[in-house]
Amino acid sequence: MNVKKMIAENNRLQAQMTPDNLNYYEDMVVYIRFSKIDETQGEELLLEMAQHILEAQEQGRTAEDVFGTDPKAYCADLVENLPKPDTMSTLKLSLMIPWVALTWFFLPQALAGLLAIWFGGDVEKMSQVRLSTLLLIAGGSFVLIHLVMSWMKRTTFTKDKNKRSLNFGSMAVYLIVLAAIVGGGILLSPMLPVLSVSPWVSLALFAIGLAGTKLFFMRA
Amino acid sequence: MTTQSQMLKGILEGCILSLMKDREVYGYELSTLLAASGLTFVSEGSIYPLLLRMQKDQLISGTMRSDGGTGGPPRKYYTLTDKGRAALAQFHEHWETLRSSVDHILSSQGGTTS
Repeated sequence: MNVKKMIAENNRLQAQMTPDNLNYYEDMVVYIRFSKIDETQGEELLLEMAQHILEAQEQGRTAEDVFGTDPKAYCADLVENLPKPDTMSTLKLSLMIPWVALTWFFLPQALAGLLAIWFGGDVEKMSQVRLSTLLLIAGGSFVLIHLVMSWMKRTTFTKDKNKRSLNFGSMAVYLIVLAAIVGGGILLSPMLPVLSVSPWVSLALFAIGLAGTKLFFMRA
Repeated sequence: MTTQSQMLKGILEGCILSLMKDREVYGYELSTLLAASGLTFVSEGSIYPLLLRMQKDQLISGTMRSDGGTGGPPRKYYTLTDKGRAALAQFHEHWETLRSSVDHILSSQGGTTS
């Protein structure tokens, strides 16, 4: 059973849970999926626990009866015992976001250039791509996605979902890193070359990026 | 972790190995089997971190599959590995030694007080 099928089965089971159980279980799902663990093993575990909750539910017991009143500590215990992802999938996860971000950068780049060709604009200017811009997109998207992931994980298990707040300490760390990347990019910008990428090349890069996304990152 | 909870964990692990000796067991089933044996010190959810650790230690292995006979939902079934069988044999040995020692102490103490 592959990960995709397990997630589908998981969703099917979630639909059968009582609101309280679902509330409890959803947080476990977020916490475990956003942890650095082997994906297949993680989904197998989530499926087992969903089945367990439903069996207990039929007998009038709640998810809290089964897994205790401190689901965060319980999930931390689970994550500690789950195998870590292999190097390949860690690499994939780290590369995916910058890859996707750069791919989509080239679509408007290509369109603007093509419009300039068809309607008589400054094609040369439209074809200029700063190397520093590319580095900024790659680095910035990488930091941003890690910021969001860590925030998602930290704010699970907050009783009142509307009261989920940002942890300013870790936010500050990420913002400093982000500022360093942006600042570094701006400082480096004059030193780094400006590439001339024709609209057709941009379009080709977008297509290659899209194909790569499907090929490397979207496989079930 | 306290010595007591560590000891209980060791006992629980031995019981889980024993329950999987002759057949495949899935998570919920395991918790009902443990409860039916009167192991009430085990909270229901505590089996999952333990099952994960036992898989990591290669004492048991789990496979996701549907129950062929009943066409039930896909579940993760656990069985003992060779290493798990060896660990079970060792647990038996340790338990017998421990039990006879404890029995001996308790019965001799019981004899003096009554």
